[in-house]
Amino acid sequence: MKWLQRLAGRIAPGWQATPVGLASFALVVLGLLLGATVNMAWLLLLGAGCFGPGLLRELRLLRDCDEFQRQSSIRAGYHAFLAGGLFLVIVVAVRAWGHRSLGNHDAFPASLVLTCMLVTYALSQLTRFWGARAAAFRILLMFGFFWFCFVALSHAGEPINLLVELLLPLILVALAFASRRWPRPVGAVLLATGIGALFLFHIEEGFTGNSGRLYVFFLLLLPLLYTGAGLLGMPAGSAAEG
Amino acid sequence: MPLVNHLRRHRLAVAELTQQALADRAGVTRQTIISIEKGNYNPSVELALRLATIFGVRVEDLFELSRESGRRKS
Repeated sequence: MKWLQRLAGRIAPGWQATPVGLASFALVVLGLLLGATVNMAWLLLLGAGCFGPGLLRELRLLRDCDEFQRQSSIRAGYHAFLAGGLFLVIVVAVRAWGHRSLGNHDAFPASLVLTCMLVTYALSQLTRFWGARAAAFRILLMFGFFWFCFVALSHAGEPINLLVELLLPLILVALAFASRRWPRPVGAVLLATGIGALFLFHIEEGFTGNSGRLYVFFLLLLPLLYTGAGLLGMPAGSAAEG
Repeated sequence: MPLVNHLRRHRLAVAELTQQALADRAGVTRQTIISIEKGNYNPSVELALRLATIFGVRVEDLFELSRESGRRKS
C-alpha cells in the first residue's frame, strides 16, 4: 500500500492518498472494467467507490478528512447537484418540446446524468483542492496520459496512424506544461478549442437523438472548458505563484 | 479575499516549521495549510485557535480583516 501512496504523492504532490481514497479508486476502476466486460450489474462497485465513503462520513462512521477536505467535498457536491439538476431540466424540456405534458417520451440514459454529476464533482473538487492552475496542469496531464494510452493501444500495429494520432495527446501534455508559465493564454486556447469542438461534434444533437454525443461532451469537452475557464479567470501575474 | 493571514510569516520566521510539521501539529493535512497560506481557504474558528495556540499568539496576530474590508463595514 505504501508504494501506491508514494506513487500517488509523486503524481500529485500535496495530495495524500489515503487507504480509503485508494480503495474507492480501486472499486471505481474494477466496477468500470467488470461492467464493460462481464456484466453491467458490476457498476454497483463503482457506486460503492463513488458514494460509499461520503455516505460513511455523513453517518460519522468514517473520520478521515479534515475541515478543508470536508468543505471541498461539500462544495463539489453542491456543484454536481447544480450541474446535474440543470442538465436534467434541459433534457426534459428539450425532449418534451411542443408537448403539453411531460408524457412518456423516448428513453434517455440515466447514466448521462450520473456522468454529468461525477465529472462536475471531480473537476470542482480538484480545482478547490489544488487551486485553478495546479488543477488545470494535472487534469490536462492526466487527460493527455489516458488519451496517449488509448491511442497507443488502439493503433498498436499501425505505426504511421499511431504517430499521427499521438499528436493530440502530446499537444495536451505540452499545453499542461505551458499552463504553468502562461495560464491565461493557455486557458483561452482551451476554451476556444472546447467551444469549437461543441460545434464540430454537433453536441446539441445529443439532446434530441444521439445521446452518445453528450458523453463526448461530459468526458472530453467539459474538462477542457472547465480548465480553460479556470485558467482564464486567474488574476493577471498569478503565474509566478507557487 | 477580505481576510489577510500571516500564517506563512509566523510558520517560517517565528516557529521555523515546515508546512507538514505545522499540519501534523494542527491535526490537518498539508494541503489545508497550503490553502490557508495562499488565501484560498479561511479556517474555522476552531482551527484558527489551534494554529494560534501552536505559535503562542492571538488569533488576531495570525488573521485580520483587510483594511479595504474594514472600511467597507464601518
